[in-house]
Amino acid sequence: MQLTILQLFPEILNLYGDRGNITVLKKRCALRGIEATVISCSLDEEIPIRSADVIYLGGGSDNDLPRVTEALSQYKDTLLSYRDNGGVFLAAGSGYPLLGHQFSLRGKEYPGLSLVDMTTKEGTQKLTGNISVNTPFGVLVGFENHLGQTYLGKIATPLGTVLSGNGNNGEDKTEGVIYKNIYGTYMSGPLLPRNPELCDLLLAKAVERKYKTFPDFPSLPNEIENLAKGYILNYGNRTHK
Amino acid sequence: MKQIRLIASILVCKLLIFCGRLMRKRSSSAPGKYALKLCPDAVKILSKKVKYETICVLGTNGKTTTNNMIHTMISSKGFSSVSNLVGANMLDGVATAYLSKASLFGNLKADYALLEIDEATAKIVFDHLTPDIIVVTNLFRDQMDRYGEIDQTLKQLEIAIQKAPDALLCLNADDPMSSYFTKAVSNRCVTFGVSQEVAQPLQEEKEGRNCLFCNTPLTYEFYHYNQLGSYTCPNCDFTRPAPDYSATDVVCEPAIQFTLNEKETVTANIFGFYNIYNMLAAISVASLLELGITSYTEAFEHYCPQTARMELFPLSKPVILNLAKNPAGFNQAIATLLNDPRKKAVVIGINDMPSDGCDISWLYDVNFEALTNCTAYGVSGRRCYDMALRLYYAEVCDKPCVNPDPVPLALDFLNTDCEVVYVLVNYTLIFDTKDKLEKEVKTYQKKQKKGDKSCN
Repeated sequence: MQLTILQLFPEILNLYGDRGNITVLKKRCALRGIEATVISCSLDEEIPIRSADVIYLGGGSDNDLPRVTEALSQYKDTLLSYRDNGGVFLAAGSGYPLLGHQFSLRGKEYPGLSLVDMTTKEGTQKLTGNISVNTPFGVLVGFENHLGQTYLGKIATPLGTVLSGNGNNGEDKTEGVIYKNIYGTYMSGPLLPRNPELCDLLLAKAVERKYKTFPDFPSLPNEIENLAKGYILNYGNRTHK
Repeated sequence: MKQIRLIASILVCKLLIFCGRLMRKRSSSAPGKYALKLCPDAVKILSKKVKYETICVLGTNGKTTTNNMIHTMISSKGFSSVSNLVGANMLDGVATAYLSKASLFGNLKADYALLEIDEATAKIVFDHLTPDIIVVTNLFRDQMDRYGEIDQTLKQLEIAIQKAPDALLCLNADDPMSSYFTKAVSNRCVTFGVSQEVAQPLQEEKEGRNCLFCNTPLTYEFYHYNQLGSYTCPNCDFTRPAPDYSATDVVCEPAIQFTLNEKETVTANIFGFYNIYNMLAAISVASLLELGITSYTEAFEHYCPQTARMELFPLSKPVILNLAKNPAGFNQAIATLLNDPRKKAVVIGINDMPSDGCDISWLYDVNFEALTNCTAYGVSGRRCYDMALRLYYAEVCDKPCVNPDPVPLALDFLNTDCEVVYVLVNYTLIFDTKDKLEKEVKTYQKKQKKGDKSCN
């Protein structure tokens, strides 16, 4: 089996060690005997969306996000058909709001990709700190640092419920989004090392789409992963305001 | 009344430092903090009493080292100074430096003030004192939950510099974030840099930057590390300035050697390519102050690295302790370690206290993939398991030894097949680790002496 992982604009969407997620996707493919091909696509290149099995959109600086939206908006239709035939997409950190209809940044409104029914407005205070989230596939942990407040529309499901931390908007206890095989989260940077469940789910969905059967991955011990996760669950609250 | 308040604040500061010593604590911020409550103008008053220049060192990495190097040069010429050499670099730490140096009558006898100042705090500190020279070593990503994005840090720094329009800026020509100020503000500037390509043992991911004036990607003739190198903007006239203090013929191993301005050869028993920038910054300042130093090689002989900058602890094998707190610092530490031809064991300690930054995602921006072929790997600190995961995914070690305290790991590793143990830790682990290693050295030396006696 073979999967193609498409990393979008690593030269600017690399704010929080985002390449860690690519490393984990690759490694966990290798552990299941899946050949992983990583395509890193820079802003001025043609984006080979059709050949992708997993697309990763990471976090970038506020200065760069308008350029990212502009570049991706040219592919809006291709991305919509990618979504509608089950393409796997993960957007993490400041890339997450781009999935929705629109987002605001430094007082300006920008159109999003409309891959998911959600909108993001700018808050007054940054929501920063460790976060843990209860999801149907296990408890996920991460770090959030965002001014954006995201509200999901009717046809989008949250990724999970906030156990501690702020999540989508600091109000409704939801965090992230799932729509078809599109996943978005404010957990920034390397969230997959500590959340192998999510990584395995993305890979399984990608295999299912490409090879038409949901794979029965041999489970991995995830021993260190769980210890690292345990730290956030036990001590992560300390840093919250 | 002001004078009474000042004297009271000096008393409080000195008393707190004294109490701190009794409790064997390093009091570098707290005394100043309480003293400032008594006399908010203490720094304003005392900073005016410094005889000659006030020099402020800013930047992400190398502040403490540069400040200590400048201190070495100034002391070698018999001058006195007010300084925060241990790196307490917020207003409280600066206040402690001034107040602890002042006499109980509110007098201050100091030729120079040498202060390292936190990038984000400079705009506050500069309301209290007027720098004559501002050094900017570099600007890297650091603790984003604390400083925000690097663009923010740059803005904060610009606000600070605008408060000191008469200060002479001493900037890193190789860093576009630092040399930005040659054009962004109207201050007079000098620059320093490494003017030739130097082979680096660590091929880390190069960090391209966009021109800060027109947002076009900069083109590079060569890179040193991170965004440091010889760059030019293809669209506007922003380019690496020709450095006033320039290093060529650079050698890093076994120790640093370079030619300064194509004239003087400077050698120093200092390690790590990044230290050339700290040396150049110190040389620039010494030259601007017209200290009359005839040989920089001689001047650097008196420089001893401060706490945990590749600090050596002679146990049965050498243990080297180094502070590394962000990707640029860690990558340079790894590069230095790779340059060491001996067999190495390594312990990495990561804490996430507020002054470390509680977000540790930057671990994935460090090139741990290069850290191959060590005889043993250990991880410690509050985030030891995250670090273990990082080494696992870097494919250098599947199961490193784990202990929240780096010292027992380092001691265990002395018994493995290595010739040197490197301990790389971030900020809040430093002091405790250093204290424990010092104790170990004392015990070891006692044992050695006893051993010698029994042999006789």
